Amino acid sequence: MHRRLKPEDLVAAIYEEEGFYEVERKEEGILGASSRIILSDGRRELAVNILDEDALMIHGAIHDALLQAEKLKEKYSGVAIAIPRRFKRAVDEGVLSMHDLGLIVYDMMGAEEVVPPKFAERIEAMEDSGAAIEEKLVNIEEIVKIRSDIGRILRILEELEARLDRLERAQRSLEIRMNRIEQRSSRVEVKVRETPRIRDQARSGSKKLPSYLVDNPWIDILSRRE
Amino acid sequence: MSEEYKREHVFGIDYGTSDFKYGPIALGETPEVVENRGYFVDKDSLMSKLMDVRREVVVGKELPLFLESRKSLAERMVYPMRNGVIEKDDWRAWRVVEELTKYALNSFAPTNEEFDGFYLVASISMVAPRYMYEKLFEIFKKMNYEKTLVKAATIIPQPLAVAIAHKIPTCVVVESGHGNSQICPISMYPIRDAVLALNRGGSSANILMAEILKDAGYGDLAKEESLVRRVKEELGLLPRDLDSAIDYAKANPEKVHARLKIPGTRIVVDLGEHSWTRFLVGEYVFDPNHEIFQSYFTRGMPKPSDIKIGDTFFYGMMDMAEAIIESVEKCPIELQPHLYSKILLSGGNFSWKVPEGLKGVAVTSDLKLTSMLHEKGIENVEVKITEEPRFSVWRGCIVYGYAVPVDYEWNWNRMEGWLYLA
Repeated sequence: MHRRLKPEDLVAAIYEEEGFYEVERKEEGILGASSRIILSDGRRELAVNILDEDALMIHGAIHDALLQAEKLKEKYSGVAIAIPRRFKRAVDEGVLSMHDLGLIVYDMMGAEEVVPPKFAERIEAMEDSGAAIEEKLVNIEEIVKIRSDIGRILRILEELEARLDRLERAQRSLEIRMNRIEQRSSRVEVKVRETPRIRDQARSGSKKLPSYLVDNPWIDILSRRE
Repeated sequence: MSEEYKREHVFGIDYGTSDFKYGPIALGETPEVVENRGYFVDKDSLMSKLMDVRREVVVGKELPLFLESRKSLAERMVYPMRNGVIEKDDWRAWRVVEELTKYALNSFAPTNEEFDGFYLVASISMVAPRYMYEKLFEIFKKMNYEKTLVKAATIIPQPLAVAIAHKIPTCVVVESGHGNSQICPISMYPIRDAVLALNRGGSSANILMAEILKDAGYGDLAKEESLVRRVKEELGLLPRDLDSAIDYAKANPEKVHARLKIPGTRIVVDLGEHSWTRFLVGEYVFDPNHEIFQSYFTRGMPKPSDIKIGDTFFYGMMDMAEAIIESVEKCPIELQPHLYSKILLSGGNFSWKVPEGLKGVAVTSDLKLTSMLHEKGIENVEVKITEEPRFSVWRGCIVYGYAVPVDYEWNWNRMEGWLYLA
């Protein structure tokens, strides 16, 4: 069974190859966007404001999204917005590039980075402080651990999905068997009703029946075989 | 498929050692009978070319028309069920079985459109191994290649069919055929674990009869199997007690004197002073352990040996009563008295005559076995020879097919039920 991927998953997937992994996801209460994901490669953090089709139906939604994204630049190394592919023309790529904002378009098939976000070298300031480096190293270790945990969780999830698949198949097969048994039990009921007729016929000494069939106790015994 | 349809289209086949009995329920009391044999036609022979014979095997009533020389008879005539068991790779025997089955079904297949195949109940030896069941089902399936002849099929052991035909649900069936004898206790179902087989049957008595004929000066006739069988059936006797019978015969030679004219020939068999040996023939089937038989063994007559055919062990020298006791004692103790109280003897090997002047000295099989069991301390025994033993297996097949419900499907563990083939 395959679950349908969300826009957040599609967007996160294109940065995975560059060593980014998802560290935060917000799907409610985001100003100027439907949801937001924060990606990190251990050194830099990228915030992506994602707008879905409903959000873009509101007048001025694109402008609002860009303004809100601009504000995020203070907090994150890079910022991008993601919009459905069919709204791509509504955004001027040159303007976004000028303001160091990235643009991602997505549809059912996947996501595509149209304008790469420009990352600010914010970490340079911290390099002077040895304590800060140490803290950063600790953070990196934690992040590496978290990444391996996430990898492990993903593997478990895949296994669970496979198990679920098997269970669903087993359930379907059980349903088929149950249906068969139900049909069979109805046939058994029919047989139970018919059996006395066989016995009666054999007992009645009907002229049609040969002598070895008449009053033969085996008729009763064999007609009960089930 | 309805019970009604099945009851009208039950078809029984008894693959007997000598005869092949077949027919639908509509035949009533007696089935059709042909010899259980097939003749492999020499397609290069002038006769087969003249008669435009295209078949490889000929079976059934027209078989004698295709016979050639006596030499080719031995090479080309196949009796597939002589021992009740067909070897897995004996393709000639299986070909004959296939041809006989087709012959039987085609003889009675209705031509109306409503006909959707017979409910076929076949009966084979109790000692038939599982591969025989598989092979037979394969053959039944083949029957439907050209048109549907077999809707569903089942296979039952012959002793069960005998018990069914005689309306006895709990009994011991002793089936003595051409090559061997089988003892099968039955209590609603055949008790397979208690089945016991003897490597002695009609052919053993024939061998002894041939030796007696040689001793009496008929060495040339002793080579003709059918004649030996005939002499055995006409002159052979079953003694109540062998020693007393021999004493009686020697004291009263005129009463025991045996003479047989073979109708339609000039042959007359007169055992003369060897007439006392008539008692040996019947005794040998029931108990070959008497010291008198040793002289025959030492002169080269083959001693019935212990052999294994398929999964079954066949005892050579065990006497009939001992075999019954051993078989019954494999059943639950509570059941044993019921089994002894109904012992059914089936098969031509139990048809021993008692001439008028020899009553008391010679006996029938039921009396002989009762006496043997009494000697071994078994009381309350009732032994009965089956009525019309020739047809009882076929009749049992018909009853089985008539009564077993259509939805009781074949199961390899219990070896029962209908296997649907169409």
